[in-house]
Amino acid sequence: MVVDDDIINNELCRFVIEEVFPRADIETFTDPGKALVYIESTYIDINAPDAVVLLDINMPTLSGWEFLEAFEQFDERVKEKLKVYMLSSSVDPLDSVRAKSNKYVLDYIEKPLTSERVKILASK
Amino acid sequence: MSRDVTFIKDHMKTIVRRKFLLLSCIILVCIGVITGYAIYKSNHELNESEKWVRHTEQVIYQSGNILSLGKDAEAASRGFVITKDSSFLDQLNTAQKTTFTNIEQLRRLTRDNPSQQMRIDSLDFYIHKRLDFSYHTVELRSKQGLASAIAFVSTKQGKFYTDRLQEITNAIQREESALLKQRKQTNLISVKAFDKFLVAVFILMAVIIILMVITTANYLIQNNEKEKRAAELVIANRELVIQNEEKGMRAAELFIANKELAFQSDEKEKRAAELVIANIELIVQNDEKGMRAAELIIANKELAFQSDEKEKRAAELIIANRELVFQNEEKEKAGQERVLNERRLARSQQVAHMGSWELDFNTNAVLLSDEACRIFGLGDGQNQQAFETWLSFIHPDDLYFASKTVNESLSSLSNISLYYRIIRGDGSIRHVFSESKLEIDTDAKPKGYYGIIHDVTEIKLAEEKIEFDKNNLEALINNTNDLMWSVDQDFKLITSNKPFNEIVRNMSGSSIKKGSNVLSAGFSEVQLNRYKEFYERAFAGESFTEIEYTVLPVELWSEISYCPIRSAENVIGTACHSRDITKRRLAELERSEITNDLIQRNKNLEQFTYIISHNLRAPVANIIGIAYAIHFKKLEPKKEKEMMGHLITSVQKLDEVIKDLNYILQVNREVGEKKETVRFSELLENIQLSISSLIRQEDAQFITNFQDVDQMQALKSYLHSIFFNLILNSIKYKSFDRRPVIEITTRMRGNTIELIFKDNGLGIDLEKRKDQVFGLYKRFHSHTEGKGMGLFMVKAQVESMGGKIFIESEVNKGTEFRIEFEREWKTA
Repeated sequence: MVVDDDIINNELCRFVIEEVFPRADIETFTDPGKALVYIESTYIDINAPDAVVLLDINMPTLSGWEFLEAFEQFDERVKEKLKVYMLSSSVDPLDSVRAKSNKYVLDYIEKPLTSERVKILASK
Repeated sequence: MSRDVTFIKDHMKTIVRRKFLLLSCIILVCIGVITGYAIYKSNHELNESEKWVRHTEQVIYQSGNILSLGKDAEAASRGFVITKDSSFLDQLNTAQKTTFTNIEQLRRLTRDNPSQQMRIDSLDFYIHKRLDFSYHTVELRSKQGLASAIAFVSTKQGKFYTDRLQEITNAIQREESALLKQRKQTNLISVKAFDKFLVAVFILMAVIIILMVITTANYLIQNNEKEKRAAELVIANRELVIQNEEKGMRAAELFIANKELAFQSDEKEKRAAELVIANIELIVQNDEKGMRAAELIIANKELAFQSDEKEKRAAELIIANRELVFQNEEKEKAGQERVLNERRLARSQQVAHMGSWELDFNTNAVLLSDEACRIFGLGDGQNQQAFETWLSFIHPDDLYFASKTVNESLSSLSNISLYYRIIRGDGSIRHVFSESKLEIDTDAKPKGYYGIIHDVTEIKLAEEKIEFDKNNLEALINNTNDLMWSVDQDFKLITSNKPFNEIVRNMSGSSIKKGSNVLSAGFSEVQLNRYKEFYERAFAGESFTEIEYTVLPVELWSEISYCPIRSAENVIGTACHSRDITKRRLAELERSEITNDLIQRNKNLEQFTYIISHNLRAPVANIIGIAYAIHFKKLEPKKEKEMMGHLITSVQKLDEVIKDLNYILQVNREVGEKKETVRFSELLENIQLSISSLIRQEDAQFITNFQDVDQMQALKSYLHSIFFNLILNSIKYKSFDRRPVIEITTRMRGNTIELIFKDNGLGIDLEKRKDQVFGLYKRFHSHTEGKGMGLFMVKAQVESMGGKIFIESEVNKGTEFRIEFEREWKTA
């Protein structure tokens, strides 16, 4: 899942991921609110497969941090299935630190997303 | 005061009572009149009813008469038929004669009653018929004999007529009786009514009379009491007069006692002088006794050569001598005591710097005590001086006054009290106070003056020093605009300088005097308590400073310092100093305001740069990604074209951000140019025109009120942008279940123009979003277009015009933006 208000970025990510995993199931969201709703409803199902979330920081309606706060409120079963990575164009070290210190964020990735990165993600 | 009130009350009561009495009388009279009238009326009624009774009786009588006439006729004719006696004919004739009058009378009686009249007509008819029948019967008897008469009578016509007469008469009588009964009924009713009325009237009268009685009784009682009180007052007055007299007497007594004390002190002085004389006498007596003792010893020696008797005598004489010697010693002791007392007097005079003197009119010489000599700077042994010598000591500036006073007193032989300066022989100046009394000898003739002279130089100098210190202090504490004052332990003012007095006068309307309470002058309860606390801290020995802020009469910051005043180890008061630090304070406040402003702006800038950099970097990251994809991967032509498209979009986005940046930065620079008068109503019309289709589509409604103010000096483009953005937002973020209503109002508040934009749209959760509302690229709803720059620009433009913008909002209710501009435009 890619949560970013920038369509182009989402498309790019899709392209890169598909390059590495042609059969990957990719969902993109420009509205983080909708993404939250989707997550909550889909991953409550015990049979749902695990997923990776690429989350942007700066979004007009809801920031990445606010998204994470809401995510924290979710059921444990939901949270278990999702691996969250922050994907941002920001080069501010504070953002990087803040992201890594959040317990639901596994890593901080700088845009643009590269196939090498994707491979590393998948291997974890 | 309460006596006056009571008096007025009494007076009022009296007036009320009188009026009441008057009213009652009037009411009684009215009632009497009404009752009289009622009685007259009822009498009249009774008369009336009597008349009617009589009337009815008469009718009955008359109708009965007529009936009996009929019957008489019948009887008469019957009699005649039977007996053929002509006396029966008389009866018949009489009956006929009287019939007419009876009928007429009856008619007259029942004039008013048509039904009765009809009956009477019938009666008339039938009686005549009856009479005719009788006559006819008689005629038949006399002319044709009994049989035909009997036959005629057997027709029963006559009886018929008589029966009819009976019936009619009955009817007439019945009607009359009925009428009578009716009238009696009405009478009865009116009588009953009248009775009731009478009863009511009597009750009312009784009540009024009772009230009158009570009132009068009250009045009389009160009068009694007033008289009693007046008598008491007279007695009390007399007592007061007596007490005053006694006080006068006692005052006189006190005055006399004072005079006696003065005289006693005179006498003590006399006795001191007498003691001096007595001393001299005793010394002389001692000499004489010494001489006598010597003579006795010689006489003893002559007798020593004689017999036992002379020895005895000698021995006796020796004993006598010893006794005398002893007595001499005693007298010497007494003499020494007197000398000692004299010395003590002199010493006390010395200690008090008070000398005594005597002026003898005969010798014109002054005898000074030792201390008096010292005061004048004369040496020992110079106690005797001439009067002129004394005058010569007086300071030339005081000489005129002193000699004048002395001469006046001498000529009037009164006592002298005098302050003057003397110049001693060594040139030093002393201030002296002299008090003297006239001495009268045993023949009541003035002998001289005696008195005291008191060296008050030290006192005078001390006084002058105090005066100097006082003036010095005054000058010191008044040489400033600060307030200075001191307060004693009872919160009473000791000293204050002019600025302090001014302030107190301004605040409380009256001047504050030394010794008055400082905690009374025109402060509020809260302030008084605070000042009291400060004073008490100082009384406890603490030195400290406090800052005070008041708004009346003008805004004022003061720094007040409190310092305890000590005497030995005790605190006896506190000295207070208040300095006006308003300027300093205002400067501090302004500075902190400016500092805060700068900090805020700095924060804004930092945020701004952060946002901009991110928005710059984002498209760049995309470009890099796309470039890699295009360059390093093998792409299908369709995909490649897609990617190129994305590349173009991203580059454009980058360019846009840079343009936004430029635009934002321009806002701050454009100030000062192209200021013009902008009319709000015009502006609104233009905007409404430009988005008329949108307005129609969203069915937006505008409520505007530009009555207060419709124009201002501003940059037209900015004002346009502000209006446009706010209106557009209100439409874009309208509520889903109602049509958008936008209220735009303008107000003048003093020197400030207020613009208010109010809508009924989605509203904003200010608790969560307050800091982000005017943020750059910040949006809260994604269902419409927008970059998130509108409000950021509005705020920037408002602030660059020197204004302020405020927001209030409630989710699902609406939002209100309030913009304030100074009337005189200041550059931000």
